Amino acid sequence: MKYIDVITKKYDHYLLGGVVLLCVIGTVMLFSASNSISLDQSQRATATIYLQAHLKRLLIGIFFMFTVMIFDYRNLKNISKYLLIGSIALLLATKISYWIQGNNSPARWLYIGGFSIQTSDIARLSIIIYIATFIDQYREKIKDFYNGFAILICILAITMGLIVIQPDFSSAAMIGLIGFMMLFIGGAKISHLTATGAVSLLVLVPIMLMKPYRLQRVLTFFYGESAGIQESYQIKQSLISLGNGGFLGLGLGNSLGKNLFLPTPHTDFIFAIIGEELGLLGTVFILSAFVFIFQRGIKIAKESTDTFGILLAIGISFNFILYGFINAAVVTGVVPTTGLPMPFISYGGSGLLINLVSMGILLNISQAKRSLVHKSGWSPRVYG
Amino acid sequence: MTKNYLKFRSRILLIISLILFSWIGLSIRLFQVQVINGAKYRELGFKQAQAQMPLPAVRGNIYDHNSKPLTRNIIKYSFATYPAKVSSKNKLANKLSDYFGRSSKYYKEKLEKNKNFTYLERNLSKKESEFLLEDLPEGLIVERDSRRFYPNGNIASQLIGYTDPDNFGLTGIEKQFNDYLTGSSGWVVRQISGKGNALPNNRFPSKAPIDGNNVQLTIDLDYQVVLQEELYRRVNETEASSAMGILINPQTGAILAMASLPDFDSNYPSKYSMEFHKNRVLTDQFEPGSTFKFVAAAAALKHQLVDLNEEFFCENGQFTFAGEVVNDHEDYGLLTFPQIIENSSNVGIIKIADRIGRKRLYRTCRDFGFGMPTNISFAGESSGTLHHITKWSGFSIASVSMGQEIAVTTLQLAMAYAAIANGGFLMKPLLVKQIIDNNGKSIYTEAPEVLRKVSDSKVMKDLTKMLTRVVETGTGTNAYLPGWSIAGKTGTAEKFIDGEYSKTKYISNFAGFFPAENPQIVGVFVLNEPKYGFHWGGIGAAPIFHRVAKRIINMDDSIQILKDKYKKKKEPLMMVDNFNESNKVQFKPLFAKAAYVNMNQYSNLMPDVRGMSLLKAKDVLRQIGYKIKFSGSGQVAWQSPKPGTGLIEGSVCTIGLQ
Repeated sequence: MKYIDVITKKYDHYLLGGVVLLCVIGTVMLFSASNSISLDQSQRATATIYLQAHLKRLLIGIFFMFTVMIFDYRNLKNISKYLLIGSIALLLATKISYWIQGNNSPARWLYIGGFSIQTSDIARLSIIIYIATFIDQYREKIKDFYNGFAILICILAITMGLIVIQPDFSSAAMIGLIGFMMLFIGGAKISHLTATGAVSLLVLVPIMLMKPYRLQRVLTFFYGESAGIQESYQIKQSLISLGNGGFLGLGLGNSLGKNLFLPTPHTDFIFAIIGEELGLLGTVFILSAFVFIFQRGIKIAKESTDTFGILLAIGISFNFILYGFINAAVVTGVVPTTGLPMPFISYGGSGLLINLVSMGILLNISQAKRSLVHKSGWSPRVYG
Repeated sequence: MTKNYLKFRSRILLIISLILFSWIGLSIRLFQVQVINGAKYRELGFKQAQAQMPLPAVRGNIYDHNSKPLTRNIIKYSFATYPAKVSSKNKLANKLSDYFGRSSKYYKEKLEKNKNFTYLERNLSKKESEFLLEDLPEGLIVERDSRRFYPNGNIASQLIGYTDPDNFGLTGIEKQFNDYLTGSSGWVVRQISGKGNALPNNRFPSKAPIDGNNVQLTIDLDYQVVLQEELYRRVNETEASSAMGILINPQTGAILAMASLPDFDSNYPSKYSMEFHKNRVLTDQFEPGSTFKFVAAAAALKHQLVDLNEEFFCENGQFTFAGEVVNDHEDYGLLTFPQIIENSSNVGIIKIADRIGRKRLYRTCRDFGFGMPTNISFAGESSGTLHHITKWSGFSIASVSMGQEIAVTTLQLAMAYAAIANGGFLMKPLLVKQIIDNNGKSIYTEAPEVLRKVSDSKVMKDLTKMLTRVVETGTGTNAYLPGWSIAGKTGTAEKFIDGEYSKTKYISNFAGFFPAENPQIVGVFVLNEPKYGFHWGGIGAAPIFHRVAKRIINMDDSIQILKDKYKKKKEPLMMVDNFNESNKVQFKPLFAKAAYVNMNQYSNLMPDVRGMSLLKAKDVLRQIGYKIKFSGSGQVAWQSPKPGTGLIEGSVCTIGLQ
């Protein structure tokens, strides 16, 4: 009873409600988007391969989210260093395990007990926590290039480097963007940031264009279909699906594009299926839900008393909305194709888990402030 | 807002404004894609996600006079593929080669030559394809279609004809009435997936196919069998190179049976020479010889130029007319008019013809329909040869009277004899009794049609009496059937080869009808180049008439000596429903890998869905057109009705899952 009491009174229930709403919409849309592909893959035996897996992960994710909620988030400061080292070790382990197995496919997942974990997801959360810890502890050093700024940039560079060689360029770029944004908010000098930004662009752009398929995607984006039909097929199908939906959509379950026209209707392009079935109303509603959750995150940061809480809340919120918006931008053909999922909606291994844990942390920060306001300090007191 | 937060506030506001800006930007982009350009994308989307699939119409069947089927439609399997989508061409070629016995090179060439839809094997029976169906290789498309099957093989094959692999009539009735038989195929627009498979849910329009019309012929299958069997038998006995025969009803002109040998099997037309495909009863003309003498006799009677008891001196077998010597096969002295016919004296008939005069003889030939087509509803009819009177030489009148210098088709001869039998009316030959649409309504009938009255019935009665004596005591005694009166005439024609009459190659023929008092069947039989000795019409061809008449009398009680005019033979009702054997073919679901090819039509048998998942069972049953009730969950444990039960489309099927 007390546990429920704690949730209802102290945590930001708007945020919790928003997350639950997104999870519900996500699950329904995931089922709708994945049933055709599931039938095809199971030779018409079952429509629920992906739904079942998603629900399993959702349950585990929710468990982790509530677990994260009951510990004081400030404890993360103490373990942030180990989290970072651990996630770097996981990144290395991923690459090595693929290398040993002689597997040439992108080394992005580590298989633990039947679950595939995308190690870059863990690294991203660890980086957010570590940067927040660093700025909290060395508030003034961040303005110093050698003693503060450069250290964080190095850590960022190492992590990104390990992800780039997986290869997973877009995830690395996301981590770079989030880290950069946190440094910017944390008070780093604009001159440092611009200089580093310029240098990293000089390094990253050639790396990006090294792989022919990335070059292809960029060319396709700028020059349209003439650059290569293969690459533009996804975007063409995505736009067809979106346009097919119109203002009100074809109705739940009536998408035509999910029937093996869109190559990945349940993961990267689920937003297009939402557009087809629920129309412009659905897509704008989803985007607004993202903005709403982001706004709750900012509000939690505003009301947080300590620097760590503020930066962590900002980092997590920014991470969340960045993924959502980049995915929507890919689906609408605004940016070149990347394989980034839409949080809580796309089907995808550990992404859902990490997102739920992040939201758990955010909720945790929200209750800390409320505990303070209620003058009872940090005390969920679940142990009696 | 905490004091701590204020330190970061300005930079956070910058980030927030960026986010809000992108929010608005993305929303505008979505509005652009979904609403402004929506119509364009919607058109593309529906275009790619729907496909019009044909629903082939079932070809109409051909029936005989008694509604016995002469054709059937059976299910055949065709295997096709899109070679561009086949990953391992070698593997597929080897596999097909294992199953069908052709070399794998054959399939490989087909796979490599073509890019688009290609048939690898067509029109295989269920038996031939069932092993492959159980173990269908990836990328292979199965089509089920109905194909023509001719249950009677060689029987009436020249008449019925055959179709090409696309069910398009190529010869015979199949060609003649192709437009009626084909029907019009329908279509259904189905939602398809990106892989091109049709999806079970369907919100799109469709048009039902209209099955082809059934054609009912005047042919009697039993008679046809008798005719063909007796022709075979006689051809074997006489070593003739070919033979023709026809049976018609003289009262209506309806053709009861027609055949020429050698024949062929409509199921395997390519295995036989194209010559055998022809319906030679209509297409081939020949000089009939003495069977043609009835024309001169009829002309003489009609114009009352010869008294029945008048005697003619037959010059003891040798007579010179217009500078040419004419021989009889036996030497005759004085013969009466009927005796001339009875003994088939050439000299006698020439003397009579001389009295008739060429103009009247020619006129009578035309009256009996020689030298012009009979207008039967069958393509390729020959009109025979009858030179115009202006082209006749001095001897022509003699030649024509004994059946030379003219050529007739077997059909023409039969129609002329029918005119004798029915009292002087030349009928149009009928081949099609009626055409019936798929609702059982008759949309076309051929009614008996009198082309002209050749002469009055008294002339024909006298002629019939003479012809009866031919069979009773004259040259045609081999056609005699005790207890029955048969009228007929024999013909022995030397074949006209390279400008002169051959002394070794003959056409032996016999034309006649019975019962003479009440003629119900006219038969004409022609043997081409029988062994010497059988070359006489009375020896070679006459026994065919005897045998055919005997069998028909034994088989058909409606053939009676005395006809009660007002007691009509009861005709059996036409079987209209488009029964085909496919109904017996056990339906097997092919959905796992094969494309959905219209299966709704044929499979009225309840498939076995036990052991399937609910979705799959629903798929299978819906495809066939059943409504489904189910209970429980898991796999199908029981079903009602049981597998193999015949069901009407749209009926409800209950399945239980466990």
